[in-house]
Amino acid sequence: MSNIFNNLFSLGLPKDILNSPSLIVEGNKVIKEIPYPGILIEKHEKLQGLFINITVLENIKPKKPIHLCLSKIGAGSQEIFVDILVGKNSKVKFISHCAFKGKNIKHITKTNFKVKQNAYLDIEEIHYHDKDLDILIDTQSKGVVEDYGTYKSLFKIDKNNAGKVNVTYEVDVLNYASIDIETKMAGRDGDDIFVKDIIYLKGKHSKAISKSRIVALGKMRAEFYGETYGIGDYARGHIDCSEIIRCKDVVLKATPVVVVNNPTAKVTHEAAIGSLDKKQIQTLMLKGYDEDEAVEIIVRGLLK
Amino acid sequence: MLKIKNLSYGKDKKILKNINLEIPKNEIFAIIGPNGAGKSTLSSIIMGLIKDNVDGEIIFENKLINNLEIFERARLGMTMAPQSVAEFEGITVSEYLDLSKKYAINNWFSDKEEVLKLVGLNPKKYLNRFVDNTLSGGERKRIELASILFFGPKFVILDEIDSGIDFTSIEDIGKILHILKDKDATILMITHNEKLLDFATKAALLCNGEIIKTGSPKEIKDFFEKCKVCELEDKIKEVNNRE
Repeated sequence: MSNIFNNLFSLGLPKDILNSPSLIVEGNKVIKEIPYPGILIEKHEKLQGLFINITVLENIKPKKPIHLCLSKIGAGSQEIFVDILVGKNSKVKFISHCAFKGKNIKHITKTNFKVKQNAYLDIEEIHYHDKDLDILIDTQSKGVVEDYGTYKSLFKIDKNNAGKVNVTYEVDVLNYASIDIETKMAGRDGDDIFVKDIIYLKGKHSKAISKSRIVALGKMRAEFYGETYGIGDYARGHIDCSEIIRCKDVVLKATPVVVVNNPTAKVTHEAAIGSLDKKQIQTLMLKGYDEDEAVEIIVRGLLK
Repeated sequence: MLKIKNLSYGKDKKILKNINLEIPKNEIFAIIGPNGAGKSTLSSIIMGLIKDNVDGEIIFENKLINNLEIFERARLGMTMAPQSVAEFEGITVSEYLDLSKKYAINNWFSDKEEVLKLVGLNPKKYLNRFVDNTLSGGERKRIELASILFFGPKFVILDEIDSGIDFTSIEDIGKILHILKDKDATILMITHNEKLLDFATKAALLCNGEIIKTGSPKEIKDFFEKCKVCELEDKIKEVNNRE
């Protein structure tokens, strides 16, 4: 057990996961759990993978985030099926630390979530990849945010190779609910990244922001596809995708699609693919940074 | 401190022609001139932002720096607040000020709040804001000035320091200039605003890519009035030549 934790911490995981409310999973097995009152977690290890049901009871508002740690050290598959229900008036943040080391790893997660009325769910998925990692990541999240609810999500891979990555979000947003989905990735030689956000603004005054930042630091492919539907009265949506190229032989594609069938709804988009702004680099060089250092600072900011 | 000898810039058409300047240590040297005179081009050349098609010599503290990169010049103690400042996504004002520390030349200040107050910004409101497009051009420029105070340069170019900035009075700019001077810095102030010449110790007039005159700020201020009609005179000359 301590060997697994040593591996995880060497990849950069914060050590306080051992003392905070958390669920730590290696492969398809739960290896440690620290519960939090009002948050019920059921686990079922099955042939297809690990099934986790998380129920946040009504009016539960932990001051600190709940840590989920999904790791795979060595070859093989990790398949996790998660159901999350956040009860009325609850406010919870999960930080999902995903740590991988080895070759020929598959990390597959399918998450279904429901954010009940006036509840708040924030999920950060931060990846820690070893230097020579060979991985396929397929992560799908599908959910509903009920009236006056809020859903925030951040998916981030910024260190070492991302791998073959497929990230999909599909969310229904009901009356006066709001969502904010953000994907931040740096890709290197051989990486292949695909991000898809599908948002249905079904409720009146529902709001959504879908934001993507992908930086190509090597020869790689990346595509962002965002679709936002303005259906409810006075629904407001925005897609903001930006992809940065730092070398040759890179294929980057960004496709924002807006569909509005309600005259009071409005969905906007901005998409940009290009190199880093020369003015930014020069401004940092005027403070003594060489070009590589300046680029690193700018990229770190973009992916923060 | 800084000498510019026979500096020209341009391939076919010369944007700058045979510029000769000498800026002694701890001077507030102003270069004034109308739009399109070549002022910002000159500051970009001094800092190494433009290197191609440049003839002549740029000497900083007795060292020829023509071939040095921007960051190498900065590490010698030179820096610049450009006319148009960059935005940075995901970097807070506090982090941006910290960035000036790694290669700082002088440790004039250690308190970020103090420096923000000096440039007229409330630290409580600004330290955690991002240096991105949520800031106005004026706010961004003040933050750049704060970052220069943190860098502690020997020599600084302030390119159109007052453009886009909502300083309530010209004295606010004077205050920053005097802080820099009191810290023993040498300042090259690029401007088209005659009022800023009141803070200079020496000045030069740049018109159509040429230094027309160097002298006291008062002399240059008077002369600048005449230069404002340079363009008109050129057009008259052109017509006369055709005839």
